[in-house]
Amino acid sequence: MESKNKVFLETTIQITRRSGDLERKEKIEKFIIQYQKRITSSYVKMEFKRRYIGDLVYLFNLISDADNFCDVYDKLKILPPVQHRRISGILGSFGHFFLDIKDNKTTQSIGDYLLEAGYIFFKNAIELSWQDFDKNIDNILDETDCLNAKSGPVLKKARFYNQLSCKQNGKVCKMKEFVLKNREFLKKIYDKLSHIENLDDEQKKTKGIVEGALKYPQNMANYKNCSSCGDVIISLECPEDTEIFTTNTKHFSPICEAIGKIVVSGELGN
Amino acid sequence: MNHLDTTKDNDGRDKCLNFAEITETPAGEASPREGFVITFYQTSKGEETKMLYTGAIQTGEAPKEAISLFKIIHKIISTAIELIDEVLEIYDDVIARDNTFSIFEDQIKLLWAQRECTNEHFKSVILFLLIAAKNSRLQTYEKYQYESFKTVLEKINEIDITSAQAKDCISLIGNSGIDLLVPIRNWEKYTIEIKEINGIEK
Repeated sequence: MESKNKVFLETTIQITRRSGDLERKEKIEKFIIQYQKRITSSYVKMEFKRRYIGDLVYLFNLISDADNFCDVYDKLKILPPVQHRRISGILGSFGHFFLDIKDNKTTQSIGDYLLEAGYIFFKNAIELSWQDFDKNIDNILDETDCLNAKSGPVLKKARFYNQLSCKQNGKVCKMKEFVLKNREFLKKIYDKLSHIENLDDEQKKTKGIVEGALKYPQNMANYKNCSSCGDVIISLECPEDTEIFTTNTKHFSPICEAIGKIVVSGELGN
Repeated sequence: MNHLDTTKDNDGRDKCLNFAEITETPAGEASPREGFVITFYQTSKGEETKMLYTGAIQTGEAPKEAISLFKIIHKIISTAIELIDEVLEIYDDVIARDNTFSIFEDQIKLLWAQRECTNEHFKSVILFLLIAAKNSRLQTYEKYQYESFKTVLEKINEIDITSAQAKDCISLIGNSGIDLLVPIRNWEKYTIEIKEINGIEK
């Protein structure tokens, strides 16, 4: 098979490599091995930290604080439906796996056992996942100088802190410079989105943020704004000779079409 | 029953007895039940705690003399290493290999059952060895992956391992390509429900 040149691993791929079922994980690994070089970015790492690591940290802290396993579940009830589905799914999968290992001879209750195993498992899974982000990656681009990607979650007294702040010790990221540099491409993306009928809610939000970025680029060095148009930022930072690998083809395809980038989904797209 | 007297650490979690403070019971002090009474002396408090050890080491047969938990853990580790050696020796015979590896998995479960008197770092490594052992049903392991089990077991033989040693061991398994996140991979297939039974929410 002819080896392709370079592939950019977008956030959904980096997350699915860790949290997708075995079939999807294997499909990704087989797909990316076709390329000579695998690239991602510090911005993708921030999104990975916010979404995947954020879920694990949330669960770990619930487990760490809980007196019994039902407490953990009860706390999940406050989550919006999509998050509730995902977090309770992770907890369910974890419970199913570990109940199979439980030694029935011990007097420990199932709830206590799951809390104990959960504390150990999620603590280590968070550290492993953060370290593994760079695994099999040849280059991590850092044009946005995303500060949130520079440090991982911190464990202090049985609680993880996974802070996402765009101002750290007086420093700010280079998102403003990034937006100014890519102004022409942002215009093209805005035009493209303006001509699409039936944009979904997320696309409408992205369009609004892009419009704001063109008018007030200085406002983009702000977590709330930049995280609402991540697909645009990732598409812009992907080099021209590199294909963007994502499961979110619905959102990436029109953006990349506008700026002449190629989107690939490896049969995993939506 | 399988418990030790523990004290709390600063975070309110159970802190284990220092093994150096533990002495063995006189030989042959078997309990009236199936296990053995092992007497521990916690010198800091001067208190004596008795523990009933009901788990047989491997065969279920009674050892001739009472042994400390420390020795039990060493024995299990040593047996597990021998089993991995056997797995490597018969690697090409898939059925024999899987049969031997399932006995290895039982040894890791036995180690996990002894966790109460070990530190958090040791427990972490054992938990991930358990995950890796169970994952063998989903992933066919290469020789070098079986070897990673052996390396890790050799490293944790001192039992009172540090956080850095535990991380090193877990990374060693993960870097060999064994999927350690497998317990949460199938999240899309699961959810959790709490149902009311006889009017009482559990």
